[in-house]
Amino acid sequence: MPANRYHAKAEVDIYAKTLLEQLNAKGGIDAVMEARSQMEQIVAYNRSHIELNRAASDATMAPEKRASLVKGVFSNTSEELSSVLGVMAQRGGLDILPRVLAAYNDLIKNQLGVTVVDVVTRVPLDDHLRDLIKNKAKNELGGDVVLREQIDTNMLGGIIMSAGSRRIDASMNTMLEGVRTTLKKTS
Amino acid sequence: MNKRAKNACARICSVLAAASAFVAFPALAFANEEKEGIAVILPDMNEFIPMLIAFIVLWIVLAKFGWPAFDKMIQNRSDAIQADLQKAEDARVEGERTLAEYRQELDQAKMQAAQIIADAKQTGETARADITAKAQQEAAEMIEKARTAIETEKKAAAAQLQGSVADASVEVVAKLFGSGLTDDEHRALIERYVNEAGSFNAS
Repeated sequence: MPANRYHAKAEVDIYAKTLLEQLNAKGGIDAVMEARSQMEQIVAYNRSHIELNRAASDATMAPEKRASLVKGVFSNTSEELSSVLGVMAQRGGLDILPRVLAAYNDLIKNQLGVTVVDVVTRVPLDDHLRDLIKNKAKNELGGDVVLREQIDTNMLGGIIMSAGSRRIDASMNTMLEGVRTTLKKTS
Repeated sequence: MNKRAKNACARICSVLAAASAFVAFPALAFANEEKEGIAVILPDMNEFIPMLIAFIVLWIVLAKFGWPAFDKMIQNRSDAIQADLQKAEDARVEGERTLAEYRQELDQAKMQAAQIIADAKQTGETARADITAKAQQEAAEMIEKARTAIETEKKAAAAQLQGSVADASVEVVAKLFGSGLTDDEHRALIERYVNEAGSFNAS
């Protein structure tokens, strides 16, 4: 089993490294970040739609057919990403895509020296806030900081910042939920 | 008993001897009519000796043949009476013994009946005490359960009310924040939170 686990990790690392190097060579950090965003969307889609995952790992289907199927589904993504996804489907399926994404993020941090911070707010950030957040992340995490902004109108206010597995939730929703819990417990 | 029988037999034999002499010598029996003086009461040897011989002969005959049969009959009768008396005595003793046994059994039966009644009474008292204790325990448990249920319901109601109050309060605050703030106010709030928020390394 360890051999299989190591083999799987090596396979994941190869996918992530290949994708990162190709995208970085082609379009720099913007292309890398764009592919990262697309991979996140695909992972989220696969979690809620298991049919594609099943089709991509269907042993009764020929590997080449699975590859062409996945490439066709993700033809609107970058060419490098769709190619890697096709190879994944050809070699067994898209189950390892979340681990590829995690390895991809590690490579962005370790190989490119870039820290990606995902920021979720109710209103768009201005430059002052971007600099403020970048400086905070740079001081605490190091490297060049790239912000990925997302607007969520369901948020009452505040901000959620995530960098890999690290997360700062300073949203109004979370605060009010804490207040609600405290009121129910103590009152 | 034997003596009395022998005496009676002797008297009977004397009478029989006199009667036989009177029958055997009727002329001699009335011969004294011709005597006078003391001679009238003295026996005439001519009459006396035959009568004596007849008497002795009769006596011997009776003693030889009559008396043993009579004595045997009397003895048998006496034995029968004795046996009957013994049987009666045995029956009486047996009856008294049986009566004593019956009385003893009756006394035992009375004692057993009294014991049974006492046991039944004791059992009834015990059962009544058990039933009463069980009923009291069940009643106490029911009361405790009801009290616990009421307490739980009270707590649940209070918690629900508190939850409702908390939800309402949070909703009010949420509405105030959600629609009552401008974008600049939101950004000012974000800036404040970024400055006051914890570190990435601490999370």
